[in-house]
Amino acid sequence: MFEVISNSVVVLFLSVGVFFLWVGIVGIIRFPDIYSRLHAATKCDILGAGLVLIGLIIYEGFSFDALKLLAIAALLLSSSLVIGHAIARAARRTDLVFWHENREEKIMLEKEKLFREIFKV
Amino acid sequence: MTPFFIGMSVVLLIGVFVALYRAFKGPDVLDRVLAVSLIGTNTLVILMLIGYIYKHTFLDVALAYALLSFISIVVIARYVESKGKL
Amino acid sequence: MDWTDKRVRILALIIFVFWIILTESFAFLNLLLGVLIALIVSCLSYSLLRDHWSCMEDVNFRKFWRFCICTMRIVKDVFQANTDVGERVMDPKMPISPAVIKFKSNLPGLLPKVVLACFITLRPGTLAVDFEGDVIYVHCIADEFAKELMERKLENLVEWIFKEN
Repeated sequence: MFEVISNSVVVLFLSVGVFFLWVGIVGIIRFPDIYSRLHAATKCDILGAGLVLIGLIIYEGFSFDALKLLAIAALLLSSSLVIGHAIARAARRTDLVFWHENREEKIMLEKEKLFREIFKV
Repeated sequence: MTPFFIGMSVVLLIGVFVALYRAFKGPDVLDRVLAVSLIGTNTLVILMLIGYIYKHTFLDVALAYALLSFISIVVIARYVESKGKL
Repeated sequence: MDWTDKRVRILALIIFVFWIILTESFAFLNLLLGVLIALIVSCLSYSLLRDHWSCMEDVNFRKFWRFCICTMRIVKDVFQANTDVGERVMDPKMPISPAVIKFKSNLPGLLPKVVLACFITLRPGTLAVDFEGDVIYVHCIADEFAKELMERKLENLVEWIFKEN
């Protein structure tokens, strides 16, 4: 009985995790520019892989393999954030312009003016 | 549970091939780098699932793969940043 | 090679725990080898890391504990962010209207800014792009997230983590 419950919990976690990984993949295909692709990639990486890892930890029980999975989860969380920031910074410093709805008007403007300042610094 | 793990790995493998489209077509270098990093995460998850199909043998491989993929992607991003537009 | 530095001992301890997790055994010879390798690796890394970890100067246990509490609180935001991205991706019309804003923060030091950038990235709809001094460039996927960011709740949270005492 207990095994049935734990197995169904594992199936739930794995299915939701794989669904979110697929959301990341579809986002990378459909979004128009690199910054919005980074939105999809970083967030869905963290939650999707994290849910799959939690499901595998529940399936494993308490052992050294569960500790290894926990180490991989911590590594994935920090590495996904760092990769997202590194790629975004490289994109801004190599002058990639971000996508906007009415691009034809905006593209005539100077590049720094594209950064709409909602904050007055 | 083994058939379920196999099914999930196959679903993710199809996803890897879909993400390969962005790595092939991407208009800029950084798009390709981003697609490769996403493929790396999916490969990691596939490796762990395969490890649970065959008696826990691939977890060390998955750990080393996560470290290597992280370092290589960060190095490529920094290189593109220092070189300007490639 | 400086054993008076507290951080070298912490690094050696982390490497030793990682060694035990990797080798999966508590045999005496194994533990001896682990201690030896942890000492060698931390000594070798010290000369590399010495110039770069000055931002870890005033980290203590209480700040680390408050950071863990805040990560627990941010888990709900991660779920919201993912469902939001999912809705925007699956919608055939794709309702996005991106904007890049400048966010000026008054946080002192490098480590609080890095934590703030990570929390901004984990929030729904915002992505930290770049630093320039005190200014963080934030890419918002729609305008309402920029207004949400303007309430400065996150900055207050990070300030609470890194307050003294």
